[in-house]
Amino acid sequence: MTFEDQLKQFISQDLLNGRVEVDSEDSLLEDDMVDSLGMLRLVMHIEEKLGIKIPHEDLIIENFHTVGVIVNYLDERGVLTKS
Amino acid sequence: MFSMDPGPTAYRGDGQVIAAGLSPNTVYLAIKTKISAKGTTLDFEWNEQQNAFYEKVVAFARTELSDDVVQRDSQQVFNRDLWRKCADFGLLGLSIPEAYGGSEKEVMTILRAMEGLGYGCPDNGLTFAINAHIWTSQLPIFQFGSEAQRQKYLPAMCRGELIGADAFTEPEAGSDVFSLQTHAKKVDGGYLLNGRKSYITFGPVADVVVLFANTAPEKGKWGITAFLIEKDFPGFTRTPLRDKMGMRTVPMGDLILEDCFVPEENRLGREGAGISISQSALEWERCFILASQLGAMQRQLDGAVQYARERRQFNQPIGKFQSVSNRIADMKVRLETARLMLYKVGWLKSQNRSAMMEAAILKLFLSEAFVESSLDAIRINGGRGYVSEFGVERQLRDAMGGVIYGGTSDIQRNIISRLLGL
Repeated sequence: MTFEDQLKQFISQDLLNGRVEVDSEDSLLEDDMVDSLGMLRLVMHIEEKLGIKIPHEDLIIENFHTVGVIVNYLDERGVLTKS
Repeated sequence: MFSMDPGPTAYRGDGQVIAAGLSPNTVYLAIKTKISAKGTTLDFEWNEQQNAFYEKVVAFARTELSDDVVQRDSQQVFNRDLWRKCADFGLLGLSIPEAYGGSEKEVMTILRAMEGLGYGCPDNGLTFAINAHIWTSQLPIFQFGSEAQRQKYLPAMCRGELIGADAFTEPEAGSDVFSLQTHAKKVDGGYLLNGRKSYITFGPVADVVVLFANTAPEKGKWGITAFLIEKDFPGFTRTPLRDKMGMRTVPMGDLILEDCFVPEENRLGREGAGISISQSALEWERCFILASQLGAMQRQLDGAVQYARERRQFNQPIGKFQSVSNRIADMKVRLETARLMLYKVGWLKSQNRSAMMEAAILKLFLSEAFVESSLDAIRINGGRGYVSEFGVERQLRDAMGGVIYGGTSDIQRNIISRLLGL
C-alpha cells in the first residue's frame, strides 16, 4: 500500500468514520469534509508515520487541500522516501 | 524524560526510591521507576537548578507581587510597576532566546517556574496576564515572525516596555472561533482591516496585538491570517475596561478596526497560516497558564490545611471533623491528579511532541478542579471565606475564568471525544 493509499484510508476510516470514500483529488476542506481538528489529526498521523515534524507555517490550504497535494508537498520535502 | 528534585525521599527496602517531596513546595508523588528490561525510565525528579529557580520565583512573587491584591481586585487595577518588576526579574523573557532579549530556559524549567509564580503570587490576574503575554504574543512572534519583527518587538516585550495581546474572539465567533468575520483586504503596501474583537485580555492597554483576520473569505477558515497591530495604527481603537467577575487585575476589552491600514511587513507568517499559528499558541498557553493555576491550587490547599488546624469549634480544630478533612482530602486528590496531567503535557511539549489530547484533558480537569476546590475552600473557611478581605472567595471568581478562556470545558470535551474517533 502506497503512502497515498494509507492517507486515503486514514481519512476515510479514522477521520470520517468510514462514511465517505476519499479520492486523491477530493477537496478535503471544502464544506468542512475535514475540519480544523481533523486536519490537525491528519498532520499528527503523517508526522507519526513518517517520523517528521511539519512546520506550523506550512499548514496552509495550498499544501493540504487534497490527498494528492499533500503527497506532492511531502515529496517535494523529500520525506516520502523514508516511508 | 523530565527531571524534578524530590525533596524528602522515601525508599523501598532495595533502595529504590518510591516517594518523595512531602513538603508543599516539592512534588508529592515522586515515583522513580526504572524498567531496565526495556531500558525505559520514568523519572519524576526535578533537578537542582529547576528547584532552585522555582524557589527563587516563589520568593520573588511573595515579596514583590503580593501587596494590595484585595484592593487592586476591588478597583480592577492593573499595576504596571508590578509588570516591570516581573520583566526585571526575567519572567517575561523565559521562552525567548538571548539574541532577542530573553533568557530562553527549557520547557520544564519554565513550567516549574510558572507553577512557582502561581504558588507565590496571590494575584491570579497578573499570572494569567504574564502567561498570555508570553505564549500568545511573544512566542508566535518568535516562531512565525520575520527577523525584523523579532528584533522590533521581542526585546521590548521582554523588558516589559511593550505589552502584548492576542485577538481572535469576536462577538459572533466564540467557541466557533474560526467563523470570525474580521477581514483584511489587500491594498497597495499592506492590508485594510475591518472588524471587531471581543473579550481581549490586555485589549485596553496592549502596545502590540497578534490579531487574526480573514484575507481570503472564499477559503473559509483557511484564509485566516495573523497580523501585528500596533496601538497607534490609524483606524485602530479600543473600548474601555469591561467589568468582570474574576481576574479583575488584568484589563479586558474590545478592539475595533475601521479601515485600519496594516503594512505588509506587519503580517505575521504567511497568508492563510492563521489557524496553525493560533493552534500552536493555544497549546502552549494552555499548558503554562494551567501551571500557574496549579500553583494557585497548592497555595489554596496550604491555606485550607492551616485554617483547619488553627480554627477551633466545639473544643477542637475543625480539621478533626471529617466533614472538613474529607473536603481537604478531595482538594489534595484534585491537585495531585492535575499535577500529573500537567507534567505529562509539559514533558510532551519538551519533546516537541503533539499534546492535543493530553492538553484538552488537562485543561478540562484542572480548570474544573480549581473551581471545585475553590468552593471547598470557601466552605471550609465559612464566613471568612465569604468576605473579600481574606482572598478566599477571590480564588473562586478567578477560577471560573479558567473554564471559559482558552476553549471552554465543553469544547475540551468535544476535542477529547473527536480524538477518540466519535
